[in-house]
Amino acid sequence: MALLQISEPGQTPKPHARRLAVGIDLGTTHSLVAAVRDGAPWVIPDAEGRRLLPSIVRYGMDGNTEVGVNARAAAISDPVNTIISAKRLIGRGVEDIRERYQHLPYDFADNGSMVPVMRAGNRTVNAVEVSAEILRVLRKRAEAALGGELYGAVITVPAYFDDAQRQATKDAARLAGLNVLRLLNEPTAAAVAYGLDRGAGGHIAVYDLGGGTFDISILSLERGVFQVLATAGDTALGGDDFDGLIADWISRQDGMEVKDRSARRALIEAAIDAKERLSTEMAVELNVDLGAGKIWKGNLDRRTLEELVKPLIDRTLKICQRALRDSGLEKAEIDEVVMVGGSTRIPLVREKAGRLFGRAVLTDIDPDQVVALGAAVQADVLAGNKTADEMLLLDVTPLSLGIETMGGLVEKIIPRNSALPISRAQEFTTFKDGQTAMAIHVVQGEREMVSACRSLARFELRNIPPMLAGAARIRVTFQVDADGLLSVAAEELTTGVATSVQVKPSFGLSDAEISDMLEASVRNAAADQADRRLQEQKVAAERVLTALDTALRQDGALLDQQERVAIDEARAILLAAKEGADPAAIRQAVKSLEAASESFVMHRMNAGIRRAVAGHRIDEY
Amino acid sequence: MLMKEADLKKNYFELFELPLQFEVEERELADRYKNLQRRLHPDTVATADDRQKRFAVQTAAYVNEAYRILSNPVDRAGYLLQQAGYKPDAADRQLTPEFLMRQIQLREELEAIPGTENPRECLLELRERIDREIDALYGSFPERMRRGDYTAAGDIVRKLQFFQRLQDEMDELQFELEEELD
Repeated sequence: MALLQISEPGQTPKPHARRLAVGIDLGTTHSLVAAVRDGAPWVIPDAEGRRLLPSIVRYGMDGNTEVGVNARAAAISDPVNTIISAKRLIGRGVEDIRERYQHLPYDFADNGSMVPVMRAGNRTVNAVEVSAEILRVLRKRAEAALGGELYGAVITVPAYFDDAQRQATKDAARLAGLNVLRLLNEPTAAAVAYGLDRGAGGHIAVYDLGGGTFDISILSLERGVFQVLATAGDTALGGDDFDGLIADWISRQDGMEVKDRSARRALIEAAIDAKERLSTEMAVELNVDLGAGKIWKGNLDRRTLEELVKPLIDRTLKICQRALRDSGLEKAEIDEVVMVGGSTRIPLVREKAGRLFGRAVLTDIDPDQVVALGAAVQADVLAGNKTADEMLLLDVTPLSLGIETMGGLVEKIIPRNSALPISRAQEFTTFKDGQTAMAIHVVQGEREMVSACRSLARFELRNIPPMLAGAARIRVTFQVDADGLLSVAAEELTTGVATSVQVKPSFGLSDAEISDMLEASVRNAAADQADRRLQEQKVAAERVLTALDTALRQDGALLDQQERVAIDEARAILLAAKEGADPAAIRQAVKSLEAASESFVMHRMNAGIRRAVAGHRIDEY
Repeated sequence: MLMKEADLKKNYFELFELPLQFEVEERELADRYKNLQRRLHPDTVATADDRQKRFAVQTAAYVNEAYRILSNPVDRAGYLLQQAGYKPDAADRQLTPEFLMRQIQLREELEAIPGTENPRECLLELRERIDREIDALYGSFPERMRRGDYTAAGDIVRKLQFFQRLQDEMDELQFELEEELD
C-alpha cells in the first residue's frame, strides 16, 4: 500500500504464513473437521457451536440441498430423498449394495454407470456426490473459522477400505474443491492423536468401531514414527447394524411387519436412542411413533441389547485376532488398546475388547473426535508447517492385490499388510503369434477364487509389438501409493516399447463422469470464487479510499494544484469502479490511484519527519 | 536430503549402509529403515510438484522392498546369493530325495496334529524339532558364502524355503487351535 500503512510494532505479519490445512473425518454417521492451532489440534464447530455434522444430505424437489441437522430432521418424513450413511455405498456396485443392505429406502436408478445412482429430490445422485456435499459444508466451515482458503486436507478412510472405496472418497473431495494431501487410515489417525498426546512408545492396538465400519490396526510407535504392523477389518460392520438388530427386535415384540420406509426410519431412530441411553442406563422405556396413529410402547434392558449385538462384537474379536497374528506380536506385547468410534461407547464392546487384549482400554479422547484430531496433525505436517522429522506415518495395504489367472484363480502380487508405498512387477507373455493386446483383471481380497474377491479393474495392454507367441515379455508394474491407491504401468522388455494401459474400474466413476461432475461443481465454485474476488477488491478499494481521504483532510495543503487534480481524477475512477462488478477494473483503479498519490506520500513523509524533528535537539537522538 | 536417482541402483545392503553379509542386527536394521523413510517417504514432499512426488513414491517403495527382503532371513540369504551372481533357478538343482521325503513326512505329521489328544503340545514339539533344523541350516550358510561355495549355499536357501512354508502352515494351525479355545 503506497499510502504508508505501517502496522503496530510486534504485529508485523509473518514472512511465511502457515498454510491452512485441515483433517476431515468423513464418517458414516457424523463428519468432523479439525485443524492445528498453537500446536494442538481442535475440532472446528459450526456457527451454533456443534462439532459433529450428521452425514446426512436431503435433496429437495426444488433443487435445494440440506446437509446435517436439518437434513436429519427430515429423515423420517422424507426417507427417499434423505441420504443417510452414504459411506456404506461409496465405491460399491448396486448388486453389492442390494445384497448387503436390504432395508435401504432409496430408489436406485439404472443409468448404465458403474456407480449406483439414487433418485432424490428432482435429480439423481450417487454416493460420491452425496459425500462431496458433506465435505463442501466442512470446507466452508473451516474456511470461515480459519479465515482463508484451505491449502489442503487429509481425509480419513477406514483402514479396510479397498481401492475403489478410496478412489471414490478422493473423487468426492475433488468435487468438493479440496486438495487432498493424503487419504489417512482412521485407526492410524487415532493412534496419532493418542500417541502424541501421551508421548508414548510401544505397541498400540486401535479398535475402531464406527457407524458403518470396523477396523483394527496394530502399530508400533517409536520416536515419532507410527509404523502400522497389521490391519484388518470389515467395511460393512458398525453401529448401523446394531441399530438394525434393535429395530428388528422391536418389530418382533409387536409381531408387526414394517414395510413403510418412514416407519422403518422411525424404528431405527428409536433403536439409536435406546442404544445410546443403554450405554449409561440399565433399562429404557421405548415409545415409537410409527405414523398413522400407531404407537408402540415397551422396555429394553441392557442385557437384552447385549444378547442382540453379541454376535457382531464377537465378529470384531475374530478380526482382532487375525490382525494380531499378522502383526507377529503376542497379546502380552500390546501396551495400549485405544477405543475409537461412537460404537465403542457400548460397555460390552469395551469389556470384550479389553478382555481380548488383557488390558484396560483407553477412552480418554472423545471416540467421535479422535480421528479428526489425528488427521489435523498429519495435515499440518503434510502442509509443511511441521517437518516429518517430528512425525512420520508408515501404513500398510489392508488387502492383497492380485490378478486373475487361468481357471478363475487369483495370483497374488502384493500381499496384505505390505508397507506402503509399494511397487511390484510381474511379467506376462503373449498366447498367440502376432498378438498385440492383452487383458488383465486386477482383484483385491484374500480368497483364492476371483469370484470371491473384489474386482478392481480391467486393464488392457495395447501396442504390444507383434512377435511369435511367448516371445514378448511384458512387465506390468503395480504400484500402490501412500494413499493406498493402485496405478499400473507396462513395458515390453525385448523392444522397450511402453504398452499403453487402459483402466476400466469395475466399480467407480469413469473419468468422463468425474469430469462432468467436476465441471458442474466448478461452475458453482467459479461463481463463488468470482464473487469472493469482487468482494475482496471492494474491501481493498474501501481501505485505500478511507486512508486517502484521511490523509487529504490532514495534509491536503501539501499538494500543488496539478497533483491534487491527478489524485481527484484517479479517486473518481476508483469510486465508479467500486460500484461495478469487475474485480480487475477495481484493482486497476486502485493501482492508478496509488500511482497518482506517490508524490503525496513523499510530501507527507517529509512533513512528518520535519514535524517529528522540530523542537528537538540533535543530541536527543 | 533427497534421494538421488543413483540410490535406486544401490543394492539393498548399500542402501541401508550395511556390510554385504548374512548377519544383520534386527534392531539396527529397523532403525535404519525408519531413518531412511524419514528422509524419503512421500510425506516429506507433500507440497512439492508431481514429478518429485512420483519419485518419492518410487524411492520409498524401493526402501520398503529392501527392508522386506533384508528383514526376512530366507529372502536375505537368497538376495546375497543373487548379489554374488548365483541364480538359484538357473542351476536347476534338485534337492536330495531324502530331504524331499522328510518334508513329506513332516507335513503328514503336521496334518495329523488336529486329531491328536493334545494338539497344542504336539504342535509345540514339532515346532521345536523343526526350529533346530532351521537353526543348523542358518548356522552353516555364512561359512558356505565366505568360501564361495554358492551351490551348497543355494541348496541351503532352497531347503529353508521349504521349512518356511512349513512354518507358515504351523502358524496357521496354531491360530486355529487358539481360536477354538476362545
